[in-house]
Amino acid sequence: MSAGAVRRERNGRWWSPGRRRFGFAGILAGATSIVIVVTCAALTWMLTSRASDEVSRLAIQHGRTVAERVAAESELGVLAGDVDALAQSCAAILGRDDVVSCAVVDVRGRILAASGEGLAAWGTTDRLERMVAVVTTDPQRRLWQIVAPVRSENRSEMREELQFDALRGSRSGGSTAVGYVLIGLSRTSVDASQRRLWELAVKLATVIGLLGVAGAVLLARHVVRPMQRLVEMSHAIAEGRLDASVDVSSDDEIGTLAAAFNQMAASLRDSRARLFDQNRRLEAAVRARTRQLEEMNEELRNASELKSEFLATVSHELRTPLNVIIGYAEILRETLGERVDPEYRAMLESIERYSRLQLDLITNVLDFSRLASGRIGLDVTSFLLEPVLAEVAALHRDTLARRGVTLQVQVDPAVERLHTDRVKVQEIVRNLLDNAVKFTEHGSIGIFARIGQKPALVAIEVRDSGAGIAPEDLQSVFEEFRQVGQSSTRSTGGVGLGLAIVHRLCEALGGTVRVDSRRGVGSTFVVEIPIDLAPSIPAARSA
Amino acid sequence: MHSEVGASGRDRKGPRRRAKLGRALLAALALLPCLAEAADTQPRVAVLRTSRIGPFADAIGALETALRADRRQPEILTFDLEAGGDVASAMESVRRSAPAVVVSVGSLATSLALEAAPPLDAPIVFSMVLYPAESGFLSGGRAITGASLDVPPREQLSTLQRLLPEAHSVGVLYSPRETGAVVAAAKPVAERLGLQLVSEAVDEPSKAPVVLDSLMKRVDALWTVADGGVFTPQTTPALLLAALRSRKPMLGLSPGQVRSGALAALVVDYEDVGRQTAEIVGSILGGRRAADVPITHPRHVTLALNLRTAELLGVKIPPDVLSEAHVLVQ
Repeated sequence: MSAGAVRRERNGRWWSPGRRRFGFAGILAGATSIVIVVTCAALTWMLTSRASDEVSRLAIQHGRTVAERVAAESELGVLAGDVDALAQSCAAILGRDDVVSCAVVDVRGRILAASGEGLAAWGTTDRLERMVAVVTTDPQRRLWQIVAPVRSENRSEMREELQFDALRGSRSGGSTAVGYVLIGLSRTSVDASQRRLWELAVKLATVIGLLGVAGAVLLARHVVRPMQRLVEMSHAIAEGRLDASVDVSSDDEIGTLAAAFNQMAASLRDSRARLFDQNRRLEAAVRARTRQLEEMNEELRNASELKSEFLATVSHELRTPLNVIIGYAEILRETLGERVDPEYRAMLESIERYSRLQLDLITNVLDFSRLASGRIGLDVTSFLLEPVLAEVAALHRDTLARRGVTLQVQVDPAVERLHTDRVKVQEIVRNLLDNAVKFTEHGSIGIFARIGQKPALVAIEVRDSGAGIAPEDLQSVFEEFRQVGQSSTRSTGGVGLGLAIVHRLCEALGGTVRVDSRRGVGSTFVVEIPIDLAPSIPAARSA
Repeated sequence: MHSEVGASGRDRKGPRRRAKLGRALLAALALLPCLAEAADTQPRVAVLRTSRIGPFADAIGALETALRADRRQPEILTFDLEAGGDVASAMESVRRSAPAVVVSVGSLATSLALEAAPPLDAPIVFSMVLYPAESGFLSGGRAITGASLDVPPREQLSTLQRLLPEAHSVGVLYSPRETGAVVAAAKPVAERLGLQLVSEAVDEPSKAPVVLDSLMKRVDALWTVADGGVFTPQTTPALLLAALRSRKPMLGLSPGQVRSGALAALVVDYEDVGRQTAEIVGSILGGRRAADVPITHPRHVTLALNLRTAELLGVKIPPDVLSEAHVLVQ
């Protein structure tokens, strides 16, 4: 797939369905939009509030100006008590500039002129004096109540006590309040203006906000589209399409990044080509080396077979005369019986014993050679284990009796009939018992059979109270031609193949062998093999 | 031509008129042959007016009522004049009607009657005119007399003295061209009453409040003369306010000024002025020369008071004055 196809497939989507719902473009557009909307709303609220307040302030200021103008015009009327003139002044402003009520009172609180609505709750003159500086709202919030003092100068030189007590109101500069003009200013038109202002502001803010959001989306897409192309290129490279490239012609950081990506892809293409070339050469070298190793392996296999054949031949050639020697020695010993001189008799027994040892040695070598060459055959039969163990024990019972070593054979009744190679089992036990007899000068030796760690296994345990094995030698007791305690080897004989044969036979029967030994206490060898060999031994190994 | 009698006048004098009518009916029966001749000699009185409302209406109404009650039964011809209107044409109509007497109501009507060209032949009887001599109406040798609105300075100043017994100096603003002679004539009157009349001339009306401020510092009260060079619709409130700010009582010119802050004013009975005018017309119709009929002054003058102003100024109105005054503002 080409880079263009990849681009068409992903299509620069700023919102991608699936596990990750919003991409960077969505987050950028969303965050920018939120900032724009919040800023727009805040500015709208702030500016419109100020404008709205300004509308109220101007209306109140205008009302105050009207009230002050009426107050200035009412000085003569208040002083003279000219209610007609005052009523005319009030009537003149009523209904204009949102003035819905007007009243003129003197400092005693006496109403000199009143017209319009909402004049009932103005209160006392003390309250009126306090209301001069502020603007109050009626309880129904329909009117602003504006109070302007009617001030008059007293240019006479009369003493204070001679002055009209009605003038003893508040003083401001050189003038005295002689009355108050009360203006009720309707909020209706101001409220309508503020409502229109808010409506206009909201509409304007909405338009600006929508334009801002649209701009943010377009900006985000503009910013992210090159990045998405880079992502698509990365995917293409990750999928192995190193011919992909990204077409971003801007001179900004994205353009620089795109150029780096294209350069990286080119480098990867070169590296992959070099790698393929080296791989081809390496594979050729490996194939050549493998052929060499196979040839060498074949040569070694041939050499091993030659060696095994040689050993078998040699063993056979050695066993034949030894059997002859042993046979003649037995005949001589049995024929001559008590008639022979004890010295010659001992010599016959030595000939027979050493010949047997030599035969055993040769047999072991032959067996091991056969095992090592893989040419071992299995003869699976069904048999009882106890007779097998008893036969093996019988081989050494006299010897051990002479040493005063007791030999015990015990088979758990749970272990009944085995279905495996009887000869191999017997050979395993014989080698283990030979080993135990070899290293046990006193004490006891026991052969125990029981069900193994798994019900399908039988565990045969050969335990002695011999010299034991040093811990450092436990790992190598099953290696070929290795004997622990070299000093005792010569006294016990053997070439160190017994336990190696045991190990090989156990493997051949699908089992294992392990040893537990303590120096000076004795050793215990445990063999675990399948009770029924047939299911566990592949046909190839039986062949 | 306009001739009408107010309903209220008819109701008030109904019995008398019915009696007269009865007598006239008997006389007519007796003198039936002479009726035609009498109709041809019925005197005509031309009434020139420039306004139909307010005091002028009151005065003209009383004038017409009184004339109709006259035994000579003058025919009343009313002419409306408008400043800036076709005055010459109106005067020509007056001349063609050949009135025995021309009654001019108000200074403007009087001035137009005197300035008519060619001059009107009939004697002129003015009514509701202030300061006719100072206005120049009496000069020129024309046959003219009438009922003025002038309340004599002595009466005004004595009233002021009754109101303010402690006042010794009285200030007055005037424009020399209009009321210089009035003020000059008032000074010896004031002196005889034991008052010092302090006058300040005003060149133009807009300066009147400033002049009044300086004057107020030197006087105890303020007297006013009807002077168009001082009191205009623009300056009157300012002058009243200046007086109140200075806490000086002012004897105003009209009930309106009293309502607007003047302490008091002498109020003329305009209907009685109308009746005075009718009496003068009757005298002339009776054969007296206009020059021989003296100019009259208002006979019925009442005092209007603003007690709020009095309270403001700390003025205690004497009980006898208060009892005969007409209180406009409590």
